[in-house]
Amino acid sequence: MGKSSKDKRDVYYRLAKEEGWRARSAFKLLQINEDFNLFEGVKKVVDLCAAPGSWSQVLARKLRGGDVKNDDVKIVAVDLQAMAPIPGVIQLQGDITKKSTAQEIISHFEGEKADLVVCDGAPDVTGLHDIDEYIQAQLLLAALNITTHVLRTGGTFVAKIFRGKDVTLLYSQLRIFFPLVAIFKPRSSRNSSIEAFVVCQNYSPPAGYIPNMSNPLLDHKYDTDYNNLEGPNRVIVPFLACGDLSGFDSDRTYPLNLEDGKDYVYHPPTQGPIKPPYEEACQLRKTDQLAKVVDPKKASSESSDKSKGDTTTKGSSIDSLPDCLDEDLEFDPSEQDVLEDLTELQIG
Amino acid sequence: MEQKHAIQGDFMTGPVTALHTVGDNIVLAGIGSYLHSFVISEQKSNSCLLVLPCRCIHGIREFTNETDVHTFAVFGEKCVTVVDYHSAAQSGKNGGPLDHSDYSITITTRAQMTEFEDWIWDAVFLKPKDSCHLALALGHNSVILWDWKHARLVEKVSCVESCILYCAKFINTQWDCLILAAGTVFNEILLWSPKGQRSQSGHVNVIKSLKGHQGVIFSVDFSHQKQMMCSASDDRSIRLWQFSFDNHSNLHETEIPLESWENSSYTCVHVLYGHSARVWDVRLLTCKLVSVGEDSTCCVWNYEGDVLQKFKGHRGKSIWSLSVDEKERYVVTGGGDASVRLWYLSSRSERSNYITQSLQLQQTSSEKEDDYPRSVSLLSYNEIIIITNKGFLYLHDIEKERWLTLMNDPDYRSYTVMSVAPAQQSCVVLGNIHGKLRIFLAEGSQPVWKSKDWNIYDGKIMSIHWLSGTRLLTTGPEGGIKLWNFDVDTLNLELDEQYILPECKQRWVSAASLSHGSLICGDRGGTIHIYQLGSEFRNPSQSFPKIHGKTGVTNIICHKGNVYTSGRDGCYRVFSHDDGHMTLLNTHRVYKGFEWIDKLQIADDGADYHIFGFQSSDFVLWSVNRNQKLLQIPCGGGHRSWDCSFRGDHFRFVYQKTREVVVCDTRLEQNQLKLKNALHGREITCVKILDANTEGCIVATGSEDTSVQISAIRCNEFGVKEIVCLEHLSGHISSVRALSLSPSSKDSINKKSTLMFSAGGRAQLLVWRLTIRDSTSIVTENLCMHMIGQTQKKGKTRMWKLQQIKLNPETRFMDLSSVQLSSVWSDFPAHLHLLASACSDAFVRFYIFTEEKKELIPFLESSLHEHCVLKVCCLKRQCGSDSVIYILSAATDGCIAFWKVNKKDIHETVKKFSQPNLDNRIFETCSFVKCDIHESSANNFNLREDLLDKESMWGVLPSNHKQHILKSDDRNDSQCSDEGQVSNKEQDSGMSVANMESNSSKENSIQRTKHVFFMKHHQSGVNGLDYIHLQDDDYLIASGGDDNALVVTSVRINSEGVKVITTGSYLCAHSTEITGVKFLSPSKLISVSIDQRLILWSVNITESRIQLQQMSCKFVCVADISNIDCQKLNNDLFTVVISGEGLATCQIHGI
Ligand SMILES: C[S@@+](CC[C@H](N)C(=O)[O-])C[C@H]1O[C@@H](n2cnc3c(N)ncnc32)[C@H](O)[C@@H]1O
Repeated sequence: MGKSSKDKRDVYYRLAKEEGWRARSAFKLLQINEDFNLFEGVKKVVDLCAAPGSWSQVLARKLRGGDVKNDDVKIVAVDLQAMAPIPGVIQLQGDITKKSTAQEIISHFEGEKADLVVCDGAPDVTGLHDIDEYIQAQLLLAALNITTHVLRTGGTFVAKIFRGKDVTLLYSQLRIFFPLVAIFKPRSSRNSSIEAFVVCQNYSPPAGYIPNMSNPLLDHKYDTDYNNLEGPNRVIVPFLACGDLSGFDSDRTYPLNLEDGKDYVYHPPTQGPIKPPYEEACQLRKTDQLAKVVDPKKASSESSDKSKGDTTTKGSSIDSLPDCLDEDLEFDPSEQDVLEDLTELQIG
Repeated sequence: MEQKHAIQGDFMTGPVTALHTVGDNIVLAGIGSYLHSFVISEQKSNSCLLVLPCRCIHGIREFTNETDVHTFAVFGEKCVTVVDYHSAAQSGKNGGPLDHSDYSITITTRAQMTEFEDWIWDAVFLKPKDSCHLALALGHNSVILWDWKHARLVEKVSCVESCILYCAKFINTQWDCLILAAGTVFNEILLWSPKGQRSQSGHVNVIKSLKGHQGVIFSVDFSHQKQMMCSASDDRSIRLWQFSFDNHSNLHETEIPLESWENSSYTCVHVLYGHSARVWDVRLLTCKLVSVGEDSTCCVWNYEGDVLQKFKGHRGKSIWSLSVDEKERYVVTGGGDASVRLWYLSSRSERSNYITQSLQLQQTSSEKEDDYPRSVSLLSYNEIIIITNKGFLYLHDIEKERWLTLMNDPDYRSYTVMSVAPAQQSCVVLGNIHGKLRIFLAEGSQPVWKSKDWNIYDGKIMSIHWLSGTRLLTTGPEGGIKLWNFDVDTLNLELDEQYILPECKQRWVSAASLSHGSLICGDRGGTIHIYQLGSEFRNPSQSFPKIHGKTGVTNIICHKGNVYTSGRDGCYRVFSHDDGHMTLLNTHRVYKGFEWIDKLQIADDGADYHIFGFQSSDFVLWSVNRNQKLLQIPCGGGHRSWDCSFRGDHFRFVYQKTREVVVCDTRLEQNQLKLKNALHGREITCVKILDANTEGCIVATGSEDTSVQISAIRCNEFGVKEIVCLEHLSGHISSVRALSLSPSSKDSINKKSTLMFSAGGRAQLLVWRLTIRDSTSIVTENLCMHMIGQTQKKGKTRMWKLQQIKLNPETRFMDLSSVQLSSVWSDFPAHLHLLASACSDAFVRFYIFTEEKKELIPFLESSLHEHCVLKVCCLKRQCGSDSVIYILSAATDGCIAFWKVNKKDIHETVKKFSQPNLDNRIFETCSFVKCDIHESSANNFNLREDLLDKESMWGVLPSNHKQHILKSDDRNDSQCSDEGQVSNKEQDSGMSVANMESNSSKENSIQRTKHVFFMKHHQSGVNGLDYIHLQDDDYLIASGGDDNALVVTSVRINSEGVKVITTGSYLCAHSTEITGVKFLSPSKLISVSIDQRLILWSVNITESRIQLQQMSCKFVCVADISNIDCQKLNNDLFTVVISGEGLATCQIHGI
């Protein structure tokens, strides 16, 4: 596959590189902002699950303008993964479901409150939908819990959500804290993707609610009256698609020449991932050093003078069984997107 | 709720997410909400029970081993239940042979399903047994003590670290010393005990936290015997941790007390990398460990960190579950491909168990010096026959190590072709450079070798093939093929027939076979020829030029009326053969990288194919059915003279290597048993019912794994519904996204024959013919392949340059819909079909398919939508001579367009196509006729018929759609919107597309004026679209969207155009995107969604509104639902098939 084939398949991937964003996710936040005017009057923001940092880039550009030293503005970005620095963004590394991480974030807002909390958190999906959706929901709830500590009353919370089988249980939890909850799908999220964003406005915790760090917020259960599993009653949140239809369609295959008279130029990814979990394994794989089936006899059959008991041929010679991942390359990577953004830029 | 309208789930399959072996012969598997039981000796499921309604099973834990009853905790998501398993088997009662009833079992629920507040990662029955206590490990690192008999919560303890876990594993079985090893997202394994020290907050402190992994922890296991822990992670490694417990000297005790854990120390002794993707699960055994992962392999390791065995066979992505029997004889794995496979854990490594020996030719006399073998063959399992460069023919008995020189003839120096007869008798034939043929035949039990010579050509004998024990085929100079009858008793050779092999580079027959009065030959140029026996014509009656590429046909065999050919292009092909005429049915590529295929064998009576060949420097035997290499022998590469033979499961492979002959002995280890068959390796994107009755159905499924599969769903002998693959179709190079069916012109009452169109990524579309023989077999035929932008020319396909630039090869076909033209206009022949397609490059493309010519004719196209088109649906309007076809198309912008197709236009296109010499340019320069469009007026949906300048390309784009922002308390009332959300013409948008196309539109020799009608029904993508005829000119259109809304519109279609009468919508019909809608009747509709609900709606139409009411809702345990299809079985019964991450069928009655 040529370098440009990904560009052909995914217009937002390509635009992200052209415009200097670290991930195509940037467009999602920009598009949410177009419809909800998120950043108006906003000075202090928490960006949860921020790596590789395109949302932080957007926030920094929008809130600070060109001014890195604007003291009023505070952007705190958190992720499990290390992130390359962005001027004017405070970066923390940690698990947002962990108490210590949450406390660290809160400590940056001593005495003051955030105007906006955004969370683009998603696990590296496994492929088992129930687990992936559960974990994603827990990220959202952990973000909500952090939000209850740092968000000012009337503030806004925007979070990625997987629209899966139990999504209504999350809606009902969110409704407790926000009178206005909408589910929004930016044009840059694919039609086939289960991701969407909840935009929760006008933070108003129930009277007497005391934020609690020690016990996790959990999602609700199905019941018989309000939110049933197979019955007609379900918590409903209005769905909104991005209003601007003239923008690019993330599902459409565009020709490489988007505009007449402007030739297509390949752009390399803006910022590669920093030390991803699979780094070492990939290195070993590339250099063909993954462990192979040991084969004592084989060594002896090739050179008859070698003793037969020699079993320590670790990582040696041929293992030409069909390599599943090589066959994987046959598949269209863009076709398996659930949450494509990160891996996309990594593949590049 | 009244259950008059019942939806009943009757079958589902999908990822196998839990496994547990019971005793020697039973495996329990969790598939969706169902607990299945498999009998290993029968390789069948003998029972299936819904145990966790609306949840997916993730774990099975055993309680006791009382005589006949086993008790299990089955858990998944936030739920747990306890079941009993009774086996009726007093195995082999009366001493007689076992029959099915001996394996019949019953599974009953002991404790009702209970739902907890959080995800359950592990469960363990605690001791003492009579306490009825079950410990559960929950998602945010807490433990619950549950009295399952009395459904009572005894205690809940949380760890101070309340982060989310990805796995947890209990160690020990008594509450007092219970340890939880919890795997976090942030690289750590936390060890803590519910009885451990509490902090002020009342939460329990962590005893140890094991650091080192670089990613999420997916699995942990602990071995008491070894005092070792192992962990698997996102970082693709497995780590082995050695513990030492100071004050715990007694290793035999299975429970390690809490204090010992507190005082323990540990070191990471191994970091193992063996999987090429993430590792999902790992298990410690007595002297091995077993791991499974995302790369679909199962690795067996020793404690030194060597990989002993690698099991590969699961299709596609991920092995999800793993179990090892108590005696550690086998591993059972369950995959994302829905299969359950059993692998024998043998002590030796798969590939260490062959013995090679090389035979040296005796070089005693000077004559024999410097001699070397030219060709080898196996006469029998024990006898090798070798012809040497100097013209010696040796017979070597491998067991007795005896050599016999059969011949020493300078006439056979430097060049000899040799062939061994297939039958029982020992018979070898040689041909030399002068055209001499010599047959050697052994007679008697103490064999006496006789030989006889014939001069059969004036020149070199190029090749010799035995077609049977008495028939021989030879090729001589200038393609002279001779077919001989050989009489073994009289040693008489008689010329039977003569043919000519057409000219080619190395002009000789490389493979041949006889089938029903025809001779089928393959040549070195990859061509296959058919000759008629007993005919005076010497030339082939039919040829498939270079069908196996340029590299040669290697093998031809006949089996059950079909002909199978293989070649060095890495493919084998299947042909049907009737009355001397062959038709290519299918092409199968074995696997990437395995190009050199030398031989094909039908195994297990047609249930499997064995493929022999060479992959890089190894000899490989591949089993198609098992999707596995049965053998792999390093031999330095292909292109050698070789032979092989079986004796039982012993396998002997001989080959010639420069100056020696190598004999390699091995055992064919059938180390894999399939307990449950695979479906697809990736998500199923589309499904169609081919045939259905009350017993079961036959379905076609397309998948992201790039294949299409035809399967039967029916009961097995235990009465358990199962899915059986009838045909696995490869041929797509990217994921398959859409299927459409149409009756074939070959369809008849006793032979149901259907055309199937399949399409998907990389702009590729394929046409197949499927003929159902009976419920167990189907004949499939690949009729045609099309890529957008490719034009057809007689015999060849070529890309037209300009088109190639314009058309993006990454274009995906998103949907298909087809109509047999004769079903609308009776004067059309039965072999013509209209095919509509939705494409990701914003085009709708219409084709005409002629089944007779097997050609797809581009007909019309338009980029009206300007957005990725997601759905198409052909609407037949039948009214005598005025019949027309309307095509509905819908895109990611939520708009639905109507297109009209006239009889006249089709006629013209077909006519033009059938006169190729008339104007080939039409098809070469522009494969589509441009479709000009009329916009609908904005508000009243009436159709205007403006005529537009043919060169002005434009699109209609809705721009000012209204947003429905609902207040948050606005829930689930059916909204009737009659304010039209209609399109406005917007001339300037989409000009870039228009400009791009104006080139080709200028070259169009034909223009069309099309009626179009446009309505905006959804805020974003339309993923479900269907119609039904209401009455007279009125039709109902249903659409389901990404915006969760379901919209039903009644439209009037007549000669004046299309007009909307009423519309009704249910804005929050589902809680997530709707991915399929189908009408059962004008008053009943079903819809499915990613929310995994199947909803039955009633449609009430009044003058002013359409009202939708939910009648029944059913949870479907297939994730990521992509599509539905349904078929009426009788007046009161429908079968519904649902595809996604698996497949489910339901029955709906009471309509
Ligand atoms: C879709 S990416 C975010 C992309 C980011 N918004 C941007 O624009 O560049 C999701 C991120 O969630 C992070 N994540 C997942 N689980 C987390 C957790 N428990 N704590 C913190 N971050 C987490 C992942 O590391 C990943 O970087």
